Amino acid sequence: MPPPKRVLAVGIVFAVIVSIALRGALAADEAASTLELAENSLASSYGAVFDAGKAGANVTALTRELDNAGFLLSKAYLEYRVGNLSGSIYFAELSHNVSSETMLRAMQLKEIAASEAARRFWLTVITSSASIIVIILMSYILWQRFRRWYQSRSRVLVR
Amino acid sequence: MNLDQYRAAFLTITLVLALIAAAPIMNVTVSLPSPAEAFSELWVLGSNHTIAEYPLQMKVGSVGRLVLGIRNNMNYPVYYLLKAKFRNETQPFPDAIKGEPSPLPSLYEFRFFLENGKTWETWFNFSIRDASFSQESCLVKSIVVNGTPISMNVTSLLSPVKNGFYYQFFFELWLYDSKTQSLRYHERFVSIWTNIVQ
Repeated sequence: MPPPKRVLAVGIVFAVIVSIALRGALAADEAASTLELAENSLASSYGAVFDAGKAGANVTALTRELDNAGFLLSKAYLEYRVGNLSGSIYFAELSHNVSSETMLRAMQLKEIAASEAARRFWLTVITSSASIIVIILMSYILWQRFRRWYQSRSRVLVR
Repeated sequence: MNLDQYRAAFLTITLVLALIAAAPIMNVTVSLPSPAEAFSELWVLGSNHTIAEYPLQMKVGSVGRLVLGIRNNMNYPVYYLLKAKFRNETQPFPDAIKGEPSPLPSLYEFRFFLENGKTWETWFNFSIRDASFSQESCLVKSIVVNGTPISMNVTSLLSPVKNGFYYQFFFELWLYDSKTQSLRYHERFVSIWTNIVQ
């Protein structure tokens, strides 16, 4: 037996309301998880830039990129707070992309800086050690000559 | 001077020269602790970088301008989060003794990264977009911060002493803690009170 038209209409309206509510909830979940992803990505990127700076790399440009990512994440949080979920997802994804790129560049810079630091370290150790050896040798040779000269002068004076 | 005295002089000069030559090695192998005390500076000023320009009284619809600034003296590059919050006279404020932030939600946030010794400044432009008044109270329904309208419902009762509806903007400074891998309150905040009028 076909359902009465009124029941069918109520059913359709109910289904539409449920699907809209469900879509809203899914969008809110997606926005929250995108924000979390962007937040974690920014923190990891900061860690990578921090390590690169400690390794001796010039991180001024990377810091500026992190600033951009931070600005975009703040914007994403603000959009989330005012209920613009699609805007929030958009800015959070942008922030995530900038953070990820910055992290890769920071890791590359860290490797370059670390190898450069190692090269500089060994160069310093070798040149300093060589200088010390040269100083000791020169001093020894000079001392020997001086001693001979001093002793010969003493003999002449005794005669 | 006899030969022994000359030997001592030669040895001394050699030792001094060897120490000078070894200085670069010491420079790269021995790291001294950072001499400076680690802290962050935080300030809020009026539009002319003075306190004389504080928007102490705001008409609904008019624009207030503040300058927020931070200087990093932490001896390392820092990931900062500055939270702008808004409250009436009875809502919770950051606890300076316990070092805890206010539980109120942020109105607006700034995330930025600052190298050691560098300064960051930004504008904080705000206006009360929608507020309703009665004889005894004022209800702020919407504020625009840096061009973004934000809805809220914050009521202030008429202050009999100050004769006005007083609200406070306060700015909490947070920083990223690498040990806990999370943002934590840096126990610093600045604030201004403003009287909202029709």
